[in-house]
Amino acid sequence: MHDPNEFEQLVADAEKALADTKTPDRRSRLATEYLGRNGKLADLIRGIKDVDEADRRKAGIAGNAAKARLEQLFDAAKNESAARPAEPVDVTLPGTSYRLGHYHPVTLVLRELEDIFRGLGFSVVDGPEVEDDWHNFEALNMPVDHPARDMQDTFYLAGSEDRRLLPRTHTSGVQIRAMEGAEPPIRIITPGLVYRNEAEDATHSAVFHQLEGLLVDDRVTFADLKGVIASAMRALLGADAKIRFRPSYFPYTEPSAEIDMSSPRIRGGEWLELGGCGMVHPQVLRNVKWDPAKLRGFAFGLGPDRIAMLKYGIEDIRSFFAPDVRLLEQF
Amino acid sequence: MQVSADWLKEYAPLKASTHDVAERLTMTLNEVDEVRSVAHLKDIVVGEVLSVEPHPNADNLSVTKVATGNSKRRTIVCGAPNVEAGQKVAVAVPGKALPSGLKIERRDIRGITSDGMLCSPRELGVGEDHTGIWILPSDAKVGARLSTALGRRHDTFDLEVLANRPDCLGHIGIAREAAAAFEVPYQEPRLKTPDRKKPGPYGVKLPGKGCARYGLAYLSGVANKQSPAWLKRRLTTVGLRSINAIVDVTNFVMLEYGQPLHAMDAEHVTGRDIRVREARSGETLVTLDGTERKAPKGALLITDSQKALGFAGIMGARNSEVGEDTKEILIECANFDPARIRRTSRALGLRTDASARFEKGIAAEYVNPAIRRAIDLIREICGGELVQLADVRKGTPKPKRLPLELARVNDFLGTRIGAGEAKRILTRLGFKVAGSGQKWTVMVPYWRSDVSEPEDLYEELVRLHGYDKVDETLPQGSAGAATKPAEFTLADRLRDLLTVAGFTEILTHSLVGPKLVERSGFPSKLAEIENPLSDDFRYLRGSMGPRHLESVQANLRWRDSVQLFEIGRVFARSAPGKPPTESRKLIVTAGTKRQSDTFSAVRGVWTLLSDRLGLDPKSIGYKSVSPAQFMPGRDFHIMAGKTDLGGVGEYRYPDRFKAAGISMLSVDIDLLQQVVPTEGHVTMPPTHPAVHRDLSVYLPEGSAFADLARIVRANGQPHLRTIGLPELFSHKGRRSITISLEFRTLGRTLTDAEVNRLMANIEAAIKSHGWEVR
Repeated sequence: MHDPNEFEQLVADAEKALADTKTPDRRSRLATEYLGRNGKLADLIRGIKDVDEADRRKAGIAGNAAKARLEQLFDAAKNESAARPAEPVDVTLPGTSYRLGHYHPVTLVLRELEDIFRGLGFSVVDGPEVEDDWHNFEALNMPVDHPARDMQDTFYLAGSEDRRLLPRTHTSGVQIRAMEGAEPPIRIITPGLVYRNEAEDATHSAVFHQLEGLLVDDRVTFADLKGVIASAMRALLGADAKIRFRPSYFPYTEPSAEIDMSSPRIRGGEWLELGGCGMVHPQVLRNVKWDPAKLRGFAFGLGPDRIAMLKYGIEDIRSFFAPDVRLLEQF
Repeated sequence: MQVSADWLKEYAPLKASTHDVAERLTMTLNEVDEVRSVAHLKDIVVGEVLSVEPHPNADNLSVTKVATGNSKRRTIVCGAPNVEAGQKVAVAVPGKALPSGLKIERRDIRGITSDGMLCSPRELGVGEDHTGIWILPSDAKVGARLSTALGRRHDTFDLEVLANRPDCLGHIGIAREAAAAFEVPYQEPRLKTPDRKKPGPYGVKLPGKGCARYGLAYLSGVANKQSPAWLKRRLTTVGLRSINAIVDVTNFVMLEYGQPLHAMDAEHVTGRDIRVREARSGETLVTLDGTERKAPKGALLITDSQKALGFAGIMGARNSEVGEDTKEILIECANFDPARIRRTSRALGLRTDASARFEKGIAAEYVNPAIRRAIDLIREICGGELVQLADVRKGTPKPKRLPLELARVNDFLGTRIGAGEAKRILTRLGFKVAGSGQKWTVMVPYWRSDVSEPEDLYEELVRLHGYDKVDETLPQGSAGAATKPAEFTLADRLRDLLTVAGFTEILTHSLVGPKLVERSGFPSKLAEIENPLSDDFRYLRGSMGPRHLESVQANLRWRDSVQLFEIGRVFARSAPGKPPTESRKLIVTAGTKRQSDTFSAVRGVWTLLSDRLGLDPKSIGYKSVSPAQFMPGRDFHIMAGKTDLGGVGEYRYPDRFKAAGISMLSVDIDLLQQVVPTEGHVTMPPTHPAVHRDLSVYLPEGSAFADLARIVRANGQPHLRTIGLPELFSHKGRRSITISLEFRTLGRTLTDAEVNRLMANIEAAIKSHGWEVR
């Protein structure tokens, strides 16, 4: 036999207990005690199934009513406490501590560059880090014994004397691969790790990052190259950054230019080298069986490590590849 | 190349300051690194070092007596290693200041009063060198202000000569560029020696390949001597030593035209046959620097009838060296194949001013003016008669002619260069322009071997027009939506998840050495570098693991625990001649200084990743293989069907890296990408409440939670929805596991009876495995 009054009694008990409860914490515990999955109300409701069939409906209604009433009671108490002025706290305490990890600074720069160039319509393309001689040198207008090969001191893989394999000295090979397998127009960037056989010091690492870009269509101009570089670098470094081109030489571009940047916030505004660029050399287009009479393009290469160094005031490129969490935790 | 500003003026009337010339060349030719000009050094005086004594109280200091004019002798304490008596030096005297603003005062240095300071180039703002004091030319007047004593005659700058511009390896070429940039005329030296061969006793024989042209001058009755002051100054200003007049002239002409020459004492040349030929195997010779060198394969030698007279284009032999008493000389002025010079110079480990120039591929046409210039100067300084002038060459290259269409130039560059300007630019650089209207033919001067396509002319036009004057425009048209490889997107997602989970992204050096790999105990098939920087960078990494162990060790010096991850490529050696297999990996590493469970931290990362990437738990299997580097029983491979995605393991030898515990997760990103679902299936939030039951089971040794979960899941159908996180207890020495089960169905609330039936099924199945339900 189930007594419907038990529900009323429960509500009454709850009202009394609530009146004696002062803190929101306790009130919330009290709410669980009454309304929780294993709380007092749930206990009573589970009992309903043992009630005679005749009274079961009635008991059910009483149970539901009690539930509604309890919910209303606790809600009201909660709203009241929310409105009640809380104890003042020391707002200068730092609060809950969250332990999040950190992105590598070069990742941050690469992400930003990828976003900027994607905004300018450049797709991100990837390729192998170990290249063959064709993609790293020959297709880029650097046949064997070309003096420009000295510009990029190269590691070679042991056992590749017959068909040279090398950790790529730039990501340009990816551009050749992209052109070999596609129809113009093409607009791509190729971020990635590259390797140079250079003694390491504060400004040289045997491994470092590059982000190269390539655009080929039937109408692009040298002025467009300057515009793309300038607008991308202003997006990266701020609207007050200045960009200038200086003559240079790369076997795979003609005309070629060095990209210099000056920002009032970086090293007192002095001109700093950011990378190289130029119009794709006609021989490079012929090498991928594209017709330089009908097509032309531009290519550029930027150093994300160097950009990160300038942007964050890091003085030694080696600190990017010899992890020290005391540095990395600042990002 | 070190360029003397004064020297340039022999060929072009440049009025601008050295700094302005350097700046203009930077913007029209290539970067000028370093300008050394003394125009601003009015407070620094020229001194002469009279004596140098060791400092009585300091090992690294010397006490010098320095004359600074007006018969004044100063005692100056100096720390530079290169100070020697007899040198002319730059002296900052008390009361005056350095360019940096530093005021010089008389002061006591370890018990000796120093009456001034001897300055390095860097202290004076004329260079980067700070390894010693600046040694001034010997003709500088003692006591004079540096600004007037040296004047502009000693101003220099370093021009980085581009690999395609061998014509700028001499002052004439640079003067030509500067003249074009400043729009002033330029004039090559007027030569007195007639432009024709003169027959004589010597015969010259060239090899089939490797030497395109060989000029030989035979001068008799010369009186070799010290060079005159002007010649010494020219050479010392740009950093060369003066040796004797004949040798100095060959160096001077090289620095003028960029064409190397070599002088030999004819009395030490045997016979009258000069032959250029390939070295025989095992042939050796003693070069001018006194070193005996073995000729590498393919090296070209200059020989007489008995012996080798030098490595062609690299360095002469000591046996025919020109000395002060030389009376009869042979001057060689030749053109050698750049690739062969490059290979030989590398093989010999000998790079000289000559080889550096030949490697760049200088034009064979320089032979004629350069040898005539050398004859002129030697006769002017040392007298003597020209007996023979031979000039043997293999073929004469035709001058190149290129079509040029101005409209196309401007269309290609996005510029508006006018016809007048274009013609002026090309003409000033030595090109000849023919044709009228829009279509021109441009004849390329011999020294511009780099110009072979119309595009090369576009560059000439735009660099002298001014890169600064080119507009900034944006490309028209489009190549469609900009995409990104799925692996990049996944890698970014992994970075986001891992940083949120408290792991810090690192990058490690992708070249590794055998020592580290061995210490780590990671098995590997490493791809080896043939010419590594050092043994520590001998291989392309086969795993990021070893470098991470090293990083854990480094960072545990200042942290109790580290959580690191990296995304990068690893390489496995394949068959000889085949490129190594590359894979993109994620590695996650947790390391602690004191004992604690690192396995769980990394295991939890995999749970997090597989959950947030939406992997179907049913499709992922776990297989323990216990490789050498992991603790037995504390590792597993993550299997998606038959594909091995990677694994988790607790590192076996943490003490080798000064850690108490290190665990790692490694996942192949390309393979992971293939199993990450591109479309997710959501479950709408339930409309009816669920029923929860707890289940506790004694789990015997050797059985895994995953086995229990599988049995429960299989027998709780159709209403079992989720299995909660397991809680582990040790109960009376036995391992007890408690899980919370949630049952639910659509559209109604399950009855107790239904749930009880399923629970009974589950418990029965568990018992049938011989396990005990608590």
